[in-house]
Amino acid sequence: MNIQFKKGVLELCVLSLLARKNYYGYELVNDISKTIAISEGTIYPLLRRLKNDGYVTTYLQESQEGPPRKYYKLTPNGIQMKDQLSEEWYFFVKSVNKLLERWDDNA
Amino acid sequence: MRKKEFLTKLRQNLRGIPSEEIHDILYDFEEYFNGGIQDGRSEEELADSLGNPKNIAKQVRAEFMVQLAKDAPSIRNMLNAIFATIGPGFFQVIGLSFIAIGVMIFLNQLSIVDFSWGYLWPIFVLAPGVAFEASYFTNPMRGKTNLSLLIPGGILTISGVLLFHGVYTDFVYLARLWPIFVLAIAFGLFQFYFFGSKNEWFLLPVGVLGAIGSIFLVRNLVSSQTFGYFLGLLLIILGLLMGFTIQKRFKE
Repeated sequence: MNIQFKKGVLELCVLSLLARKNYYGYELVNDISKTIAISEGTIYPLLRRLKNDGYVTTYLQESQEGPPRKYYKLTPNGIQMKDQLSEEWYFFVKSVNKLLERWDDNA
Repeated sequence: MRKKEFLTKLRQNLRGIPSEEIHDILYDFEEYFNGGIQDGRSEEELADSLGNPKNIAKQVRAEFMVQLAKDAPSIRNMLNAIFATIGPGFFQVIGLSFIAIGVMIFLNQLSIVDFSWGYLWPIFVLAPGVAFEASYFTNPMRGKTNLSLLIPGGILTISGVLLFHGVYTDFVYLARLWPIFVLAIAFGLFQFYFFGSKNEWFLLPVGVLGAIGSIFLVRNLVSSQTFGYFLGLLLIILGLLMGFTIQKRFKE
């Protein structure tokens, strides 16, 4: 898949996973890379940006295996952003599908 | 690459941002490795799936510097942001041209070559052009920050080559080759379209400038009889293309 596509939807994927539950880094990256083949390291800079922009916060939580884990959590702003982005996404996909179908009918 | 090497490379390339930030980032990646190792994956495998630590660090740095310049827009912060987002190729090309000029001056002092700015000035057109191109193609956040550099990049690179050719041939051919300057502008704009914006409207100036450039270039290079054939054929093709596309549009 086209790399620009992936980069564009990565933010939406991260936000919508976090809308379901709070993730720690490894778990989040793992879940995403199951769906989208991407250099997993690029998710971390994205997470930092989301944090700087106030869409997510982090907190530490003890774990049984080793040092405490850093969990990522959506802020109210983040939830709003996720809703807005997914609405845009559905609209976009619908329009593109419509256009593709029309194209196929003509062929 | 193993965990330790990955983290060291990451840390080295994060220089310039506050140490608490660096610490925070390294914490994330250490956690990633620990999680993966618990899942029974090897350190090499984990480092592979993360990608190149240098690129990750550059991305983090670039975003940090841009954010800083937005929050506190001082000249220093803005310059830092520009340097962080510009591809390393930019500085390599500028460096190489300094070396080239330096060597020429040296050889001139030793009376080995006859150095004169008269033969070298096009480098001030060519070098920035190549540097802009290199800056785009070596940028870690390619396509996002400095796509527009491709416009002056394309124009200056092609013009620079043409001017170099000019100074070494006393500009005698330039009377005929000048349409290449027009084509250079078309090329710069086309790169911008092709690598990023994909905005169809950019093809309009590209097409117009490209057509004007090629028509005059061909006219200048071939005999008037051959040019007649060329122009005739070109206009027929253009006419057919226009007729068909417009007809297609109206059908739908």
